[in-house]
Amino acid sequence: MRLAKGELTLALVFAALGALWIARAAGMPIWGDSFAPDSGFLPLIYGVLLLGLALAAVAQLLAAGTVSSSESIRKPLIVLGALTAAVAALPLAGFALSVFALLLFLYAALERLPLLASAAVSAAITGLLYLVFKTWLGVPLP
Amino acid sequence: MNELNLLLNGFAAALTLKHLAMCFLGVLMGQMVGVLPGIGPAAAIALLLPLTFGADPTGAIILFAGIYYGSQYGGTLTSVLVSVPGESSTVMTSIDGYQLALQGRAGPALGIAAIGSFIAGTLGTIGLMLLAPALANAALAFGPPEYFALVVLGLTALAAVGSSVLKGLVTGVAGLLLGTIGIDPQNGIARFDFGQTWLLDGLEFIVLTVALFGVGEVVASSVLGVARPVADVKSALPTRADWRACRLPILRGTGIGFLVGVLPAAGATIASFIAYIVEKKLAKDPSRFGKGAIEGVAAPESANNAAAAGAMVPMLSLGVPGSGTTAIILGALIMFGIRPGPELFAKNADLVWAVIASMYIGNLILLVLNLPLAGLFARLLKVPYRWLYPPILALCIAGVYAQANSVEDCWLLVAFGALGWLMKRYDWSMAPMILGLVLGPLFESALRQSLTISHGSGIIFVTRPLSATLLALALLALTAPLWTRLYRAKTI
Repeated sequence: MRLAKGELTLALVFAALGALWIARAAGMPIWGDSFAPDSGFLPLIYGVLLLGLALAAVAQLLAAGTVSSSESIRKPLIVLGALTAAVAALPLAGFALSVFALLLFLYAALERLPLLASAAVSAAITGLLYLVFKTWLGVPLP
Repeated sequence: MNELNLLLNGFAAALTLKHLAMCFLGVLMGQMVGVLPGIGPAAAIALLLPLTFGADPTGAIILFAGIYYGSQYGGTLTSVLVSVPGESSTVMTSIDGYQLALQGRAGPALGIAAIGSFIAGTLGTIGLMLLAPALANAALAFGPPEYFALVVLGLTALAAVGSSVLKGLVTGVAGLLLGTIGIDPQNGIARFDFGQTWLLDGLEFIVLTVALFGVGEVVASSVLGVARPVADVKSALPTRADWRACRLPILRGTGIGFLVGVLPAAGATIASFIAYIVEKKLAKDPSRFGKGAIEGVAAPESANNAAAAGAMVPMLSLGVPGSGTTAIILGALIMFGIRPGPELFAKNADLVWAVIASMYIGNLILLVLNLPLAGLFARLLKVPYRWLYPPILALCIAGVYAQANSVEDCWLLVAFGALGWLMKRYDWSMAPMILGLVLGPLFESALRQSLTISHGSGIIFVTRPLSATLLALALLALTAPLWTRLYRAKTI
């Protein structure tokens, strides 16, 4: 059976997070004067627990030889990439343009929906969000 | 008598135009998200959190509760019409519900599900009303060790609900760990800020919730393309014979659902499973089950709705959520500055009783919506997901930016959204992570106070009866999947 590398990566990310917390917490005060734990105590415990549990999950995955999902990851990665680009564009292009471009890309380029309909729906959604957040809720959108 | 007065006050609050509108909007949205692919009640509530930030807490919680129990009605439509359960709690419904749809009886199946859900939801709310205040009252004696044990119970119970206890524990501990980012409230030391001033306030509940349940779910579901073929719905009114066959299964399902819903680590899915098995065992001709027995729809549907009300009991009275959605509602309470737990009924009686009263009203609205409009909601199933997910992503960006006017939070949205996608893809439960983040500060202060009281001895957690009982329940919750597996192996 083929191992689900993605799931293994996920478990290792959690293990790395645990290791990072252990390393950082070790430099903090662990036990206070009033018989109570200090700032580093619980983060250290959490780090040890997370590392241990995540490594147990890794061992379980390796032992089980989990079958990898047949679902393609291409489309989710493109969606995530588009979201990343839209967030990167926020301070430069502003909310309206970034979100409109994100919507138009997803509808017209990724989903291959008709360009005119995609542009109209993207503009309508962007306008609605702008109206709700900027006008109604008074959020200073970039 | 006092409870009756409080309930009447609750109705007075719930029947104001604003709260009535929130209740209607909540159940309508719940019904819709139950039907629509790729978005569940947890994601819907997560997306609405930024919009309700700073708003009236009572209205917001009425809205969220409506989405929660409304989605149980909506999930039935997908189970019956396309044999794709909208929620895990409607898996058992799809067995006989879809068979009935193939026989041209989708309408009566949906009708009996709506009636059963209404009866179960209403009786479940009565149970909630009677049990939760009593439980909260009994828990008023809680001190720091009991609060510590409560958080342990909440996290282990939620971890046990998912596909794997180990994975649930990993995500729960990860949530607690992320909760330590920012200034330590005890002594003002900055922790895990990595030199970034914007991290000094810690990781916001809204950011993590929208990232995991909004972006994570949307990205994972983006592979869903076209709409599925849907069975036609004509009249949703069941016949007299259907009603006669379903009266007792509805009542039994309600009882089972409520009791299972109250238990930590159980919930609507297990409740619907047990209710179905019980009806099959009691049936004169068990061979009808799986081939279109209408009791096979009525019992699990009643059970999952009663369980939704039952799950509100530990959530409101103890601050222990039994599902991902109630974990987010719990986080919302904290976001509004309300401390969930035993003191909720004493300090925020107006809010709690207005929410309980709104549940009676909401169940009635859902019955009215579902009987004549089942066919209309069924049409939502024909909407392709590719039209739905881009606006949800745009709403995630706007919502997360709005809560602190911070582009950095939008970067966290992307990072945790990617993590949420992987977690969803490989079935790692996301709710314990949210709960860990939300309850982390309470957990830490309760631990510190307990150890100060005991002069640093951890034995305090097992020598106090209430704390020891809660920790024993946590242990039971951890081993619950084992018991469930053994039970299933014996019954099937």
